[in-house]
Amino acid sequence: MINKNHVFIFPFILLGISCFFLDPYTQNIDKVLLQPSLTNGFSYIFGTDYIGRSYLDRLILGGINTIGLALIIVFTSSILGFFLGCYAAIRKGTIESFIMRLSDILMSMPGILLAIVIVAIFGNGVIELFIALVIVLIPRFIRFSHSITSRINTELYITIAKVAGSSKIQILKNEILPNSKNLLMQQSILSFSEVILEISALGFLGLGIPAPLPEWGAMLAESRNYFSTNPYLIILPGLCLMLVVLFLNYIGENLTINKREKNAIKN
Amino acid sequence: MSRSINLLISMLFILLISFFLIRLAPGDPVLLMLGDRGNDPAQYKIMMENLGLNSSIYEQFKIYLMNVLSGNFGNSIVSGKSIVIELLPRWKASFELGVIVFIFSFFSGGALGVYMAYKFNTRAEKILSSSLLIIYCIPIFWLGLILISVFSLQLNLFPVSGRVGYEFDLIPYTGFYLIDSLIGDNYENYNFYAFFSCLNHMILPILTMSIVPMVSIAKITKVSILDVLKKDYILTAKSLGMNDVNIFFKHVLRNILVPVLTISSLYLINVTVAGAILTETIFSWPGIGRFLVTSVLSRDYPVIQIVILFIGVFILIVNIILEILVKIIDPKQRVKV
Repeated sequence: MINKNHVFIFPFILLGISCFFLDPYTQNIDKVLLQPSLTNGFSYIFGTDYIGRSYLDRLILGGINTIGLALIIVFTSSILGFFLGCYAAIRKGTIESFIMRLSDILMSMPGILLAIVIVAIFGNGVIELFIALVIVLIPRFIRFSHSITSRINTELYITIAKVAGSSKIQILKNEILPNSKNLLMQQSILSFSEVILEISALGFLGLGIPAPLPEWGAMLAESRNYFSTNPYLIILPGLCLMLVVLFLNYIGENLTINKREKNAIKN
Repeated sequence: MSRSINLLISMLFILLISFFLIRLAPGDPVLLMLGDRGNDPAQYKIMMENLGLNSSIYEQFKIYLMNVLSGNFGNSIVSGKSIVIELLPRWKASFELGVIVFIFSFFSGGALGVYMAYKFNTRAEKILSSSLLIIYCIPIFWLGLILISVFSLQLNLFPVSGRVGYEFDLIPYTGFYLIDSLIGDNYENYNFYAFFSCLNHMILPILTMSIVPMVSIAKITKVSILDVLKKDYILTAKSLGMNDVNIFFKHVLRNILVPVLTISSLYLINVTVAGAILTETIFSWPGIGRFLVTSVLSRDYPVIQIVILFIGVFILIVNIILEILVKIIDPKQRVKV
């Protein structure tokens, strides 16, 4: 049931509910670069940015944008990568070596470099960013699920399932998926934090989510000119980014411990 | 054998990516490059000819391959200069920074890993490893901005950007400013001050760039030392009366060097290149990463093409060198099975 790890979901639920009351676009010329203070009223509690937009609203909506996009990217690439990797491991032969070699080559390039190339080709926008990061992430899941599946494939229970007459899809569904579920989950969560960092890094370089939409990396980039007088402009988005990544890494690490404990109990 | 095939395929892939970059871009690249002169059909024809876009795609690839092999990389659209002339000084600037980061993160990460492994399960180790975990989660572009605001703007210790102070006029003998500042023939103390200025400009970028590789190397080193310390030969050495320092240098270090090098080699170079792109943008370091970002932002396709080619081939070469290095160090790989 609910354990202490589930506590980390509540901030995200709060974020989701609060997005109905947010207004990150209205510019108040008389409230430009308002310092954060409790006397400002609730929506200006974190001050305003360089054209007078509420910084609290931009922070929250920026988080929702980044985390939501990262979630979709990780979901898509983990499912696609898992099936491609399993397919390669089960099929073997030229298809396997083709898929594995291609993912090896893609993995030998730094992720952000690959993403920059794809953004350079297709121009920047949300869909382009999505395609770029899915291409960056898929090879990792392919290799990962390929190695797990090849290892499981030699186990006795797979042979028994084959003898019992299960088809390849049944073996995938009944044997391989339950056995690699936990590891896949952990890999996804660790990649999730990495994708969040990559989205905001691209946003920082001006190649990420396009301008009027709030996003933490882009917020850092556009407040660079003001931060000597208004340090909160760079402290807040970076802190949010760091805390989210820290939470995700913490959850990812804890999942391993749980899995190990489970294995220890089984043995 | 399969290694060299892999290498050839990777090379071909990088060539293909850089070749199709111009051709896959949305809109007409020729019109984009001509800008205001796009309405003139004669100019359009000349540009098509220059880029070699009016032959078949197979022909075009052949021409591109010949150009690359003969070192003819074309001109930048923005500056109009030859790309090689634009690229080389920037390449050297990045290389200078990258090598120092590589060495610094390898040794500091290794030292931290050794310390954590020998103090395993003590309070100091727990505090250190959890603080390393927190440091690892700091986005490096944010870290760079914070470092600038603390050390440059508040404390005035280090400069904000650039490679060397404006008062120094270095002659680029080698392109690496740390070396150039020392070998220049100048009046007394000028060389020393120039060298100090270069070093001063480098400290913040090095700190920013080496955080992520340092923490990962520390983790790998710690895990592999803990693994080795459980082995029987360590117990034997202990029972023979060897002290800890001797055991470390004669047994532990030799056995962890190979796994640490092999695991970190590919990862380390990727992280360094990725870090360079962000760090150079923050600190206005005139390197290849910043060149790439500015040319992507100004849609300078020929430059992007060549920069991608350079970085890709560079990563391949570094990987080969590291692999050969591992083969030299590891006696197990020298014996043919």
